[in-house]
Amino acid sequence: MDGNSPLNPVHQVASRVLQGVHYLKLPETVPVEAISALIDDMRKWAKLEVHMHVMDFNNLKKAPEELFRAIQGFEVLLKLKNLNMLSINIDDAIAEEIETLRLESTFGRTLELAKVDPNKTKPFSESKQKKTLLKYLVNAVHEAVQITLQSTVAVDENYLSKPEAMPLHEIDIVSLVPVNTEFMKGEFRLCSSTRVLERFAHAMLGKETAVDDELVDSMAQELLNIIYGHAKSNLNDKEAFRLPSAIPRILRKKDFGRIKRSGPSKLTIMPMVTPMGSFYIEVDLG
Amino acid sequence: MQLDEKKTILIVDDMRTIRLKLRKICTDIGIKTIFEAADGSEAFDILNNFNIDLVLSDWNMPNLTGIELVRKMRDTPKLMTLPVIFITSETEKGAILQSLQHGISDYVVKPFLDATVRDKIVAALNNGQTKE
Repeated sequence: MDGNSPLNPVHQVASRVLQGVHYLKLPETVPVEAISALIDDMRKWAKLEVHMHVMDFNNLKKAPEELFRAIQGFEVLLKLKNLNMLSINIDDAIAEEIETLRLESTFGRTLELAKVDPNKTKPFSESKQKKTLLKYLVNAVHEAVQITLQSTVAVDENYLSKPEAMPLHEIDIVSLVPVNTEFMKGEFRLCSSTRVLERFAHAMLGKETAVDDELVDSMAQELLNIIYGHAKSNLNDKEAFRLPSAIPRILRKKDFGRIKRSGPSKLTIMPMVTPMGSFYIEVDLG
Repeated sequence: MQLDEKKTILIVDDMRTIRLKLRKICTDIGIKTIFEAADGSEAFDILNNFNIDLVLSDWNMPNLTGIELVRKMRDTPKLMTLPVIFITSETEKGAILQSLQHGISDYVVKPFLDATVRDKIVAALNNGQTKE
């Protein structure tokens, strides 16, 4: 049983697994006669190797007590594996029923789902935040270069911090993601020459691909998109960061005047060396 | 690993490099009719005017994002059950959960290996329903 089985004809609860999340969706009604079949499946679902189980109540208006007890039993099985179940789309009437049955220990926190996932907070010192951020960005660069470009990358960990150490006149294209939220203000930049980006495009798309200016721009955008997106997802999920989704913008040399680089205390320049040439990832927290 | 060449795929991504990459993967497995859109809005127009068997879509795009596109599709009878694979760097739990709620067929995390995408396309097309 892989969690993506066809609908069970008796209980009609949909079960799917995607990226380590097991999603269960209740049907419009769950008859009492179906509960024992559901419990059998729950025993199997509890053995799935996933990070999280989600129970979608599908705004069900009424349910037999046996269903709540079955879900409670499922949650007990999950607890044995140190996993929690999150519940979503719980109708007010069902929430009341849960309270009446005194099952808040099973469903209590899950009623607050909207507050659980994206906005968890954790205090950071500025230096720890920066160190963590750079670590995840470097990991993302490794993944992006190895998988997308089928190449290797070496990162000099003696990062640069003075803008003049990597003068922009030596660069042709900058793709950038500005972040302006309560959590963080700053800018992520990928700086490169056209020549290196052309080689990257050939590595990604094949040597026969005709590479024009638009494709070079797209390469710079996509590389930063992968690096920032990968780092962001991991930082938000694992380190309680709250970085926003973003689409990188492109600046060519004539527009570099728009880039406001900070001084050494706020700027980190990470040189990335590949066999196809170097590029830089800049993190500017100014 | 070849597929029925009559199958049609729509690639939705604002990045030309990714559209080219995905087109190449689709061509390699025998897909001949491939549509491209640079955002969800353009994709929705194509979906309403052509018979598509599978959508490969990015998440973050201008105008209409991938998840907004899927929401619109699920509200449109003709497109309600059309398989969609997200190809994205959005891997946060909240994004996965939204995808599950909207009946996304599969998920490919960027950066991706060609073989991963290829296998998921084949699986989705083989499990998907026939065109109207």
